[in-house]
Amino acid sequence: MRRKWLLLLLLGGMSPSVIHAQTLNIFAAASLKESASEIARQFERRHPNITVNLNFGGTQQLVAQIREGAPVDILMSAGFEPLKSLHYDKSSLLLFATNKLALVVPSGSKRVQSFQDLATGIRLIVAAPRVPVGRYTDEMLLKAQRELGSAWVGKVNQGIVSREQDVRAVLAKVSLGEADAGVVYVTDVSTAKGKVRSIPIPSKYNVQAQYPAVRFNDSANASFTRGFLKFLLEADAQKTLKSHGFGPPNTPIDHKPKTR
Amino acid sequence: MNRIVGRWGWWLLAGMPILVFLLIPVFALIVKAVDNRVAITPEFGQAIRLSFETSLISMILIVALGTPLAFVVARFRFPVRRVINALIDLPIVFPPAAAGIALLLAFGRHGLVPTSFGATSIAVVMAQSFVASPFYLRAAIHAFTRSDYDTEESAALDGARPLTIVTRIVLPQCGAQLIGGGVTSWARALGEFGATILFAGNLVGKTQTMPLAIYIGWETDLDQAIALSAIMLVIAFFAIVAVRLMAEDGRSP
Repeated sequence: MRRKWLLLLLLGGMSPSVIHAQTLNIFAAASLKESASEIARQFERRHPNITVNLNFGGTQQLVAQIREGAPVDILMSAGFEPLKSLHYDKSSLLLFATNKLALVVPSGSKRVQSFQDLATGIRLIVAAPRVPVGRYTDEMLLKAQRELGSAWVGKVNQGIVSREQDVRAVLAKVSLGEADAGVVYVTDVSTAKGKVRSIPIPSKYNVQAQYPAVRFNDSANASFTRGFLKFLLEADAQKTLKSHGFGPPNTPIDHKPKTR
Repeated sequence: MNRIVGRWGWWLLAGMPILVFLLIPVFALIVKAVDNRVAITPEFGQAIRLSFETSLISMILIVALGTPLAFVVARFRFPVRRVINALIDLPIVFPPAAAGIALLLAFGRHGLVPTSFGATSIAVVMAQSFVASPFYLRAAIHAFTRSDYDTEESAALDGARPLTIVTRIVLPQCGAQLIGGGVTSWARALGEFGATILFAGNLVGKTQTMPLAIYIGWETDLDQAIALSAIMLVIAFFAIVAVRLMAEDGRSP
């Protein structure tokens, strides 16, 4: 009798790993919320025996989770920099999308009409420097500094009232009117339709965000993970990304992990 | 004496699992922090300073504004008393993140009561006071309900005024419990995270308190986060010890 229970317990303990063979754990940057969810559904439709689990967050949050041992098969990052501290399958690295920054203001607000208005003592919310979009924001301000001067940028920096944990937190605060402006990706603007309106950033200051995806060596589902990465570059997935406003990954990799 | 309920050894054995469960994380944190021996960066130093300032202000506000409310609930019978008594506990059941959103909707720049406190140190104090006040209010109501009425009545017979009775008899009698409640709410304010990051945001030196710095730190600089966590743990421990000592002090005379 007791042995029977033991056997059941053993089987019960084993079954999750059997299920795991059909599951893909994908960690994706917050800005990919809608597009990656859609791509995952497309992939599941094509491979009915695979279930895709998605975990969204600021890329630096996801990286920290992975470093602490969270089960992950694929990471879809909003930049190359965060990958530096991870051990992934180097041969799997591929660029699947690009993005650009956008300036958003609460839809009813008139305080910010142009990019230059950022230095008029307004309240600005951006992402934390360790979040990819926060890093891109700092890059953008650095570009602007060359033309508009360090006094201009100093004024902008003074207006920063909070540095949020991911791009969607920036968007949420601007939607609530807690800031006069925020810096997000162009792809985020449509997810807060009616609540925010975007102000163009002059292209000479704008920064291109690169979206790489990688798989992890120790992931048990090697063929599925490779299949998913390949799928990211196929027409269906690319069409989905394009419909959400992402750019094609055709630009050469100029953001190769730098050593600081 | 206690033999009728069994031997203490067996009871301790039964209580061991939870004790071990509670102590292992504490042990792990301290061992790692001591092992690392990292120096606190200026950024984290600012978080420590800000946390102490804001949580102390929160405690003072809670005690100053909460004492009269606790007193009226404890000592008088009036129409909405039971409703107020129940509402006091509301922030405890509120998930802190929900409290943060509620504070934004209430006191945000386009809130029900529009203010421009969001993303300032005032917002930090508001978030802390919101989540921490029940701990003081509960302790104070408890203290006022159970204090000795005889002394008050004889003082009144001798012609003492109500305010004199409250300040000279009631408050001293309840002192230990009130301080205990104040320290508990201060500790809760010190640990406040969810409501703060949502309502006050995250800016070094302005709104980034210790819990926020720990949360952000673990993603970028784990060793700093560990050091800061250990510091918070030590502070919290001494606060609890202080409360215990004061409670025992109040019981002995």
